[in-house]
Amino acid sequence: MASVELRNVTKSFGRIEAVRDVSLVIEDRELVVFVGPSGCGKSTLLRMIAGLEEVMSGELLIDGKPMNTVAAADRGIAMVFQSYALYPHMTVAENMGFALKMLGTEKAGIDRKVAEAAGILQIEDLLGRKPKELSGGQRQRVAIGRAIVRQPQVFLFDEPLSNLDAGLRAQMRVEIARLHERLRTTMIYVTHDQVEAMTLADRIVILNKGKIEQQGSPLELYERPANRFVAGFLGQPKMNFIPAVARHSDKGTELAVPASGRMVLTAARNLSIPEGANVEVGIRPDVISVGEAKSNGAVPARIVVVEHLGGSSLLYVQLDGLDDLLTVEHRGKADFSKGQEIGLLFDPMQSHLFDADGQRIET
Amino acid sequence: MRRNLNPFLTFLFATLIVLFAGGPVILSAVGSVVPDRIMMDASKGLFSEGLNFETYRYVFTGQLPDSYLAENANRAMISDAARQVPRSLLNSSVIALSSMVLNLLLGAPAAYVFARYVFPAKKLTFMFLILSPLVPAVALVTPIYMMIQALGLVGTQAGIILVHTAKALPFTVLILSVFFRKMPNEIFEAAALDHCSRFQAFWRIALPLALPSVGATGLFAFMLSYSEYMFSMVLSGDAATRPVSVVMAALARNTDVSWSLLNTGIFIAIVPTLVLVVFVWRFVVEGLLSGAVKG
Repeated sequence: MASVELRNVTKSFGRIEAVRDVSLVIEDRELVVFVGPSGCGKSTLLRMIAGLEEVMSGELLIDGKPMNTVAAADRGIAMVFQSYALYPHMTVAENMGFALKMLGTEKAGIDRKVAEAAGILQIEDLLGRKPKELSGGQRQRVAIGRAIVRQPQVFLFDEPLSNLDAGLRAQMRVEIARLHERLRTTMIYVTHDQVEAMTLADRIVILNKGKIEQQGSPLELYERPANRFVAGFLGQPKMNFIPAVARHSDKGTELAVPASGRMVLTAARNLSIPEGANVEVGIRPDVISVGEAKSNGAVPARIVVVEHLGGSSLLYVQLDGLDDLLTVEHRGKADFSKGQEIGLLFDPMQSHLFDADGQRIET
Repeated sequence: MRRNLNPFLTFLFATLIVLFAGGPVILSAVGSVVPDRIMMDASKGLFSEGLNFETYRYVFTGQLPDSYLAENANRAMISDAARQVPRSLLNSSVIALSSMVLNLLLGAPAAYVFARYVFPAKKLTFMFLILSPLVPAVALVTPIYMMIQALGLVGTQAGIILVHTAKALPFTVLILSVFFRKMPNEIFEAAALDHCSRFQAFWRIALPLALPSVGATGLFAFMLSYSEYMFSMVLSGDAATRPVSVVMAALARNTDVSWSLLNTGIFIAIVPTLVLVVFVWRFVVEGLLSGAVKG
C-alpha cells in the first residue's frame, strides 16, 4: 500500500517533450486512470513511475520515498504490459513465480503464492501450460497473476486490454475492478479508451500533449469538463460543439450561430461574456431533444444520416450555417429517415460553454 | 491464406532438390562399396558381386583389399592417406566442436550486447566485425601463421581452433544479433521488473528463447570449421593433428587413387555432419517455425 507523488516531472525524447511539468498525487489504494489520445505522454508517465524511463527533471515519490534513482525492481511496483510480456519458454506457474525465484524465495513459498494468485484469477488449471497454448484473455490473466504474486505496493497497467476483443475487454474490465476491490492496492491504469477510464477509475487524469488537462472523478469530468478538449474526449458519442456569438438581451444571454444568425440557446440570466464574443456551445448528443420542424423555439435541422442501434438511434443532422454535422442520440423507437426536416431543442441547463481559448465558461 | 500448390510440381521440385543435395552423398556411398574393376567394367552390373566393404576394412584396420594383393595390381591405387581418415575425423570433430563452442560462448553474448544495448562506437565495431570476412583468406595466411607461430601453436589443434573460431565469429554475431533484435523489448522490461540483472536477462530469458537460432548458428560454425582447408593445411603438423579436409585433399591429389577408396574416404568424412544435422535439424526447424508464428 502506498501513495505515488509526482512533482514537476518532465521527460523528453530528443526534441519531443513527452511529459511537461506534471505534478500529481495518487493516494493510497486509489485506482487512477491516465487517459488521453495516443502520444499524450500517458504511457511515458507510467513508465517513469515504473522505472523503465528515467525522470529527467522533477521528483517521483512512492510511499513518501524519493524513487528517481531507485532501480525498477526495487520500487515495489508491478506492471502489466499491453503485450502481456510473458516469457514464452516458461510455464504459467514459472512465469508467475519468476520474480520470487530471482529474489531467492524458497520453492514452497513460491508455489503457495502462485497458487493463491491463480485462485484469485481462476487460472489454477492453466499453471502447467506455456503462454502459446493460452487464449488472449487467459494470457492477460496470467500477466495480472504475475503482478499479484509480487505483492506490489502499486500496480501499473499499461493498456492491458487493448489486444482483446470487445466482449472480452468488457469482462476483463469488470475483473480488474473486482480485483481492486479485493486487493485494495494503489493502481495506476493507462488507456486510450474513455469507456475503460469512466468505468474503472476512482479518479481520471486526462492528459494531452504531455500535460494534465483535468483530473477528477469520472462524473465530475463528464459533467463539468474544464475545457473543450476534456469535453470532447469523454463521452460516446462525442459532444457536439456549435460555434456561436453572444448577445445580451432582457431574457438573458442569447447564443446564435454566426453564419445563419439563428439562435441556439438562451441562458436564463446574463452571462459574464462580452457582447459579440465568439464562444462554443458544447452539447452532448443524448440531451438534445428532437421535435417537429416547426415547433416553437426549436432549431430546424435536416437529417443526413440515420444509424438505428435498436434501443436508440443516432441522427447526424445538418444545421443552417454550420459546416460540421451534429450528432443527436434519440432514445426509444422512432421512424426517422434521411432528408427528413426536424426541430432540435437544446437544454441550456445541460449545455457547456467554452471561450475562444477552449476554456470552460461557468453558466 | 494458403494457396493450393500443384502436388505434381511440388514433388518434381522436391525430387530435383533431393537429387542435387543428396546425389553426391548417394554416389559416394555406392562408389565406396563397389570395387574399381566392376565400376569400370560396363558389361557388369554395379552390384553383380554384391556389396564390398574391403576398402572400409583397409581404412579402419589397414588390411589390404584382396584385389590389390593380386599379381600385377596397380599399387599406386592404394594411398596411405586413406589410413589417416579415422584419426583425422577425430581431429576434425575435436577442432570443429571446440570452434563451435567457443563461437557460441563468445558470439552469443556479443550479439546480445550489439542487439540490445547502446554503447560508444557500437556501429563502428559492428561494421568492423561484419566486414572482416571480406579480407581474402589467402592474404591472411602468412600473418596468421606468424602469429600462431609466435604463440607456439603451429602443429597443434589449439592453433587451428583459434583461427576457425575467429573466422566464424562474425557470422555467429551477425545471425544471433538479428534474432536477439527481434525479441520484444517488453519481455526484457518485465525481466528487469522481476529482479533480473542484465546478465540474468540474457541467460534466463534471451538465451533460452534464442536456442533454435543458437543451434543453427552452432551448426554453421561447426560446418565452417569442418570443411575449412587452407588454414588447416598450413597450421596442422603431422597426422596426429591433421583434420579431415587436409587428409581428403592428400587422398584426392593422388591421380591414380582407387575410386572405391576415395569414395570410402569421402563417405566417412560426410558421416559426422550428417549425424549432426539429423540431431540438430528437427530442433532448429521446430524452433524457427514456432518463432515465426505470433505467440
